[in-house]
Amino acid sequence: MSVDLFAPYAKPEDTGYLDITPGAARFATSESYLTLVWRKFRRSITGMIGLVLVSLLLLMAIFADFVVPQDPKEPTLAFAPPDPVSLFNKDGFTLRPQTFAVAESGVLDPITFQPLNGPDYDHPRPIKFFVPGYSYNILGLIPASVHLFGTDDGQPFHILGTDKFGRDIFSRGVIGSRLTLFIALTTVTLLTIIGTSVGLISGYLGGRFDAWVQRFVEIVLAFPQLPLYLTLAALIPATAPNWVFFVFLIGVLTVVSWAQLSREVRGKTLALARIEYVRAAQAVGAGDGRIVFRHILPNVMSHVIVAVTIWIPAIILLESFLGFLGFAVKPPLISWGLMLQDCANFSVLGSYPWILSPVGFVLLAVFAFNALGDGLRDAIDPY
Amino acid sequence: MLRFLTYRILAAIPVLLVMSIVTFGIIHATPGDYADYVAQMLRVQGHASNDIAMAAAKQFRIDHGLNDPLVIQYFRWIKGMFVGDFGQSYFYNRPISEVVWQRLPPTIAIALTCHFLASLIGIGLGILAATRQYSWVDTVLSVLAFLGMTIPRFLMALIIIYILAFKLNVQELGSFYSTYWTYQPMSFGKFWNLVQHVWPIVAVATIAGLAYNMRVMRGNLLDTLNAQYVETARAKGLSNSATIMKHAVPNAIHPLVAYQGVILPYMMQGEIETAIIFGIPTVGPAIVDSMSIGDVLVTATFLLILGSTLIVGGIISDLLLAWLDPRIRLGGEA
Repeated sequence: MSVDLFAPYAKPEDTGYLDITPGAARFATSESYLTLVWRKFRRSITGMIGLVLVSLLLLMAIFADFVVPQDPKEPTLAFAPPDPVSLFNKDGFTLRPQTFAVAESGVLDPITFQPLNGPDYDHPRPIKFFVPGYSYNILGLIPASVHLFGTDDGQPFHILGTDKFGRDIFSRGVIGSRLTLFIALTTVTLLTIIGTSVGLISGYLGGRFDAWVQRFVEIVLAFPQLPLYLTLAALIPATAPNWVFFVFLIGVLTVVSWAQLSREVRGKTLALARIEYVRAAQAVGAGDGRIVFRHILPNVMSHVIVAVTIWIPAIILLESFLGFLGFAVKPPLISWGLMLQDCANFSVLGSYPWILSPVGFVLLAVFAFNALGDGLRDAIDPY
Repeated sequence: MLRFLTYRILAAIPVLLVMSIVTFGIIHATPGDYADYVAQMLRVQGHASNDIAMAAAKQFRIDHGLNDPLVIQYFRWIKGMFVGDFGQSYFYNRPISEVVWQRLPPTIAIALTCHFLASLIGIGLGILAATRQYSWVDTVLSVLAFLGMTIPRFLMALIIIYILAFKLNVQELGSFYSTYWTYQPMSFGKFWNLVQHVWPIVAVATIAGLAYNMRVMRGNLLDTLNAQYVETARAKGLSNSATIMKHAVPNAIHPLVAYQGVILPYMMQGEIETAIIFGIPTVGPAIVDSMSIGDVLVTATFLLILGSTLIVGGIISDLLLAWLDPRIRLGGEA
């Protein structure tokens, strides 16, 4: 019988600590930074949920045409309520989910003599996977007409109902994710580039340049955010062509949000510029560019990555809120903010509450990116 | 301390000045002005012909100096600022200072109420979570805090207003008082009526700030509880509650006070966002409304006043921190 003397000291495999059991040291020395981050990230439940959701969201946006059951621009019955999906038909329980068309039941209301409508139980419409529908191009290249799910009888199937022009809300939400995510990702890319470079340069050069840049940043930060967004968004001429509006929106979102990041990056750079290895690099005569890119930027990067995951949901939210207030992209385009524009009219909202359902998409996206950011924040500094 | 205060106030002046110029510039760059609105109203409501409407708009621009160069308009506006005359609001048809005095105090009052509640409850829950780390209380509170920070405020407001208006059939949303109480003198009944109208805004704006405060407080307190002086306090036989409340908590609160300068704009924005959706007559709706019809001076004034409120708030929080933590005072010039 062999007794493992080191058993009480053995650490679980994924702690990230140096393993002190004999023979293990050989393997424990050369783990890359990314391995360590991933190891720590894997243990955060919220982080992993976020990662899965974000991946699904991005896949959904890329293959949006495949996911949707309806053409997002095809008008059908206006303000049609969501089609109920049921596992019961008139024979009882089935495993095949099905929906029922709304039809006249042939019965009249005993008081008003209005014909009563109800689900048509005689003609169940089974919901299937991979049904044929409107044609589209996968990734803009490969023509196809297969859709992930839907009914195959050629009749519209509205899982979340329709909007004021009778367009399928679910399909519009899925297609709209493309534009909203594109706006968010582009804006965040721009603000990261601007914020990081301004912060780096200002923090590294220091002196009078730094002082002036910081005064400028202070002024940008001093503005009350939301009113500033509103005034800037109102700058966009109403008659501008779509792409101008679009570029303007991204510009406005960027202009107001880079300052915070630049300030944080500057703070870190200031601290890093005094650390020994940077001074050593200066002493051996390394150029400014090399010091900034090789020694400071990699150390600031972890902070920047976390900031990015926090800013993406913030921009998605802003886009939808501005859309709600009426400053969304213009109609032929589809975005979540644009879909929420109709919700600002409370009487419409009261009669047709399902037009609020794009909110679900926004919520999902915000939750996913926040959860991812939450996990990353803890994992990004694994030492 | 005085030097610190003077420095902060002097530093705020150029910021305000640049802010006013930028605001004024942005707002004048937007297409259309109030004269366009006048012409539009004449056409739609007064059935005037286009020529008459345009002539009226032209006359309006001449009468109100809207044709003057921007620089002159700006200086006229700034000059008025110093004597408390913000100009005339075209839309509300009365001095802007009246509009401001009507709408700013409730805004600040609501924001401060939210701020107070968020700090109090947030710090309380943070202490609760930190002292019971990894228990179910901690887990539940962490999940709630995450949700509170994630769920957008305007969605919360929309859902609350939907439930209130269409499920509970609440009448008279979007005002401070019911019609019955509007012209009554202040009394307990009136105050209760006010609470009934304002609570959704306070709740929505509080929740996010509360979650934020709770997370920061929990993290800080956990750090502090590991400090050596806490261990010493425990070792000398101090009771657990005394150790936490007398030694750990006061030190854990410091960073939270430093955050006040950041949190205040956040609460203010929460109030504005929610008030826009609820249509409660505070600053938020006034900005959106005046913006949409080109009543430029009102928007500019509100932007500037909000900005200065935030700057003043920042200075106060800095002072508070300097008073709490002597280490800050030494570095006051930075």
